[in-house]
Amino acid sequence: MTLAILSIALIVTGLYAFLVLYLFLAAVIARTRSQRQQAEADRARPEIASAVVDFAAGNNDTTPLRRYAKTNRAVLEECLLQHHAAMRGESRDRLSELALDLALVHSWCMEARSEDVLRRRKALSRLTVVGAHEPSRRLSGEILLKALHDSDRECFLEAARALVHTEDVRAILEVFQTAVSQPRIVRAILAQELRAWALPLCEAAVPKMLRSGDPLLLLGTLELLAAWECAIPFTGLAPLAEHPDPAIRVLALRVLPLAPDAGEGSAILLRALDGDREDVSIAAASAAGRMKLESAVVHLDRCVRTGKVAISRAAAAALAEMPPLGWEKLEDASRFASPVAASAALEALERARKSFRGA
Amino acid sequence: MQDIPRLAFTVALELILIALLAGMVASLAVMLKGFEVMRRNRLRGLSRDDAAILLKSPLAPPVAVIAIPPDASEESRRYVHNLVKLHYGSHEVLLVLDGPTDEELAVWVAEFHLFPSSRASFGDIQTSPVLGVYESRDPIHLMVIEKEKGGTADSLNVGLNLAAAPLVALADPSTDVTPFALLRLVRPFLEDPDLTVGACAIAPPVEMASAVERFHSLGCLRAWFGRRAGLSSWNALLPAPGAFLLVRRQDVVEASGFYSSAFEIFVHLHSRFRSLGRPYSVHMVQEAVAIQRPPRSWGELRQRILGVQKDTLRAVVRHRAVLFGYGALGWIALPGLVWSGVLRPLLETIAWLLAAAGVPLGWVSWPLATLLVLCTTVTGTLNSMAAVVLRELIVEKPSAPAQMTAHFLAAIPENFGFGLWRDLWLLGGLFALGDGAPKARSHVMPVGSPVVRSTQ
Repeated sequence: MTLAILSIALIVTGLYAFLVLYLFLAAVIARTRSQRQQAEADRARPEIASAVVDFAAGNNDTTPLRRYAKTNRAVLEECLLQHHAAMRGESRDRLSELALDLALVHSWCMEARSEDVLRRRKALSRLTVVGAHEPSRRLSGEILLKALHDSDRECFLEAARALVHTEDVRAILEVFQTAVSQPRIVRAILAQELRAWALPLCEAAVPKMLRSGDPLLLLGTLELLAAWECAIPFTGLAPLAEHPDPAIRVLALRVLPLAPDAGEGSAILLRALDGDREDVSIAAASAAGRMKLESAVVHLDRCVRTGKVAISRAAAAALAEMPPLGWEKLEDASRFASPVAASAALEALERARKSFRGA
Repeated sequence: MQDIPRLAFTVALELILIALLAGMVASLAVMLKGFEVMRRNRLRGLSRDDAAILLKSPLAPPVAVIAIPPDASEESRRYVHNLVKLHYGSHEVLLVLDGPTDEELAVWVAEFHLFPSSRASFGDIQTSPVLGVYESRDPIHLMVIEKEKGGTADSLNVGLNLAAAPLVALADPSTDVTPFALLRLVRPFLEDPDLTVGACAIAPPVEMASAVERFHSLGCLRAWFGRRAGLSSWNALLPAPGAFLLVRRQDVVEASGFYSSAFEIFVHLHSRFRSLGRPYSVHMVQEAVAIQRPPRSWGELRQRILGVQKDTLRAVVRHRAVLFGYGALGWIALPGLVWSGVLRPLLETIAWLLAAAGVPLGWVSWPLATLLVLCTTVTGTLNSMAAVVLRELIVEKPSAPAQMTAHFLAAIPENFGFGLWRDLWLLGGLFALGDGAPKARSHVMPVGSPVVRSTQ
């Protein structure tokens, strides 16, 4: 019996040991080889970088660069992209031209259609770099638009960024419309890139999305507007602060102070302050503070005294934005209200005074 | 008739060895599952570094980082400085001092230029009294809370009560976190804000010089693949020791706060969401943004091993109703913890003791002796070696061949000598489990009580 168990255990363990040893040796050999390749690339890099810089500075002899494109293509691409990012103006255009001339852009376009996700991502990120170069854009434009519908999120992001860099308003509208239905992380990453195009987007894409009635699109659009944190040349946001979906109400209240017709939404804002939902009241308090809405002082004072920690803190912070009336209310609450309200009022008051003294 | 005791002895030993072999095979299976998950994640991973963009994004939710340093030593102060310096758009560090002496408090006041704050501790969780709340005069987001001694869970609950952010991060004092750690950890909450309940980041140490460091690293590697990555494929991820964690504050409050440790709250959240039938997910962050510092001595290694055993077993005992239910959590994760913390060391020790007793009686045949060595030390060594090799196959920056070989070979002394010691430590640890056990939470401080004391 023992011998039988031992035989089975020996066979299983022996196979296991062989596999582990094989993998270990394979890992050691692969690592040694990659170290050697890295060392070779490191040796060639200064020479290639120097040739790239020479070309960017005006040297038209591309013979060494063509040689490197055959022998050290990866290092050449790396050096070219690195210097492309660091340079501006004519030097940058020359490097974009070089990428096109050495057929690098062509090969990136080919790789952007690859089945391999990693190759696709890499190629799309490289196309982003030369996105502002008109001749390269003519080659990559369609590929990038197609990549906006790529199932891989990273590919989508690379394509979206590349399209924003092309400065083509139609493509940017397409990026915006796709981004609003993507997860929040996508909007967080693209918001800064799209911010520069807030004006054309607010004229065309934003109203279309906000009137769509689809809660997902509404949320996405409002999140992007909130992430821009800039004045939004768009009216008609106030009714969204009374949307049946509380998440949309919260975001609409967050965006409301950025809109030109914010004042018209004050009645809605006051109703939100007195509402049942804590998250909506907190967003309303924050909006009232940002808008310095004096008509909300009484409502905010009531919120401070609710005894609910989060609402008290938010309302106190809003009152702290509105001296002297808001500060008087806070002083009063810090003396006579419940411990929660008094603490929130005192904390907000101290912070406001501290920043006032600092200013 | 004379052969009956010998037969019983042989059968008992064989059964123990079969159980040990099955346990080793199961750990290897979970580890391989973890490897597969990490390999897939690496392929799907990020091609760009978005940290700088997320740093400025107003869509990234505010985070409160709760720090509980064990003392006021230089290492503890460096730990808090690192947390304050984390790169994030909106984060606040809540430093909870659990019953500090006057000297310790003075050290913290001097280090961060503290002054009494008007913020008071109001919250939903009952805790021992807060004696003072302080803020820093420096332009940093730091809140220091001085409280009566109440243990780790009590300190975590005080931090939870004071946290105003929707997300709460928990950092272990023995772990080094990179400045971008929070920006990596928050990504799952932006990718899937409705479903994500928690995220966890930890990577095994890379730099190792001594045997203690290598043995610790091998243990971390196995936990990295098994407890973390392997279980994450079944959405039953449990944080490995020293992990940097991020959880939704509201979920922890609804789970009545912390009971014993940060580890326990993850078991609690898993069991709570599963029992309520609510969809949720706990994510692992694969990038090396948090690395546990290796122990400097055998004593420290022993303390850490026993600390992990204590945390896990307390969590298992509290959530024993989950055992053998709720999918992978009850069938794989928790039994796996009981196996590695109690059953394996116990069975291995019994097997060696039986063998030691059987040799003078002539009851241990050479096949049985070989089987014993095979099922305990050889399979253990192979599992550790496999963990080293698998790591090299998935990390972005593999180790140098010499370092990899040293790490690989360290698996031999780890299992052929140190393994037995570790088993004895773990068995000894079982007797100390009751020490400092969390008591049923008494209503020490009425919820909403103001600060008791504010010292200058």
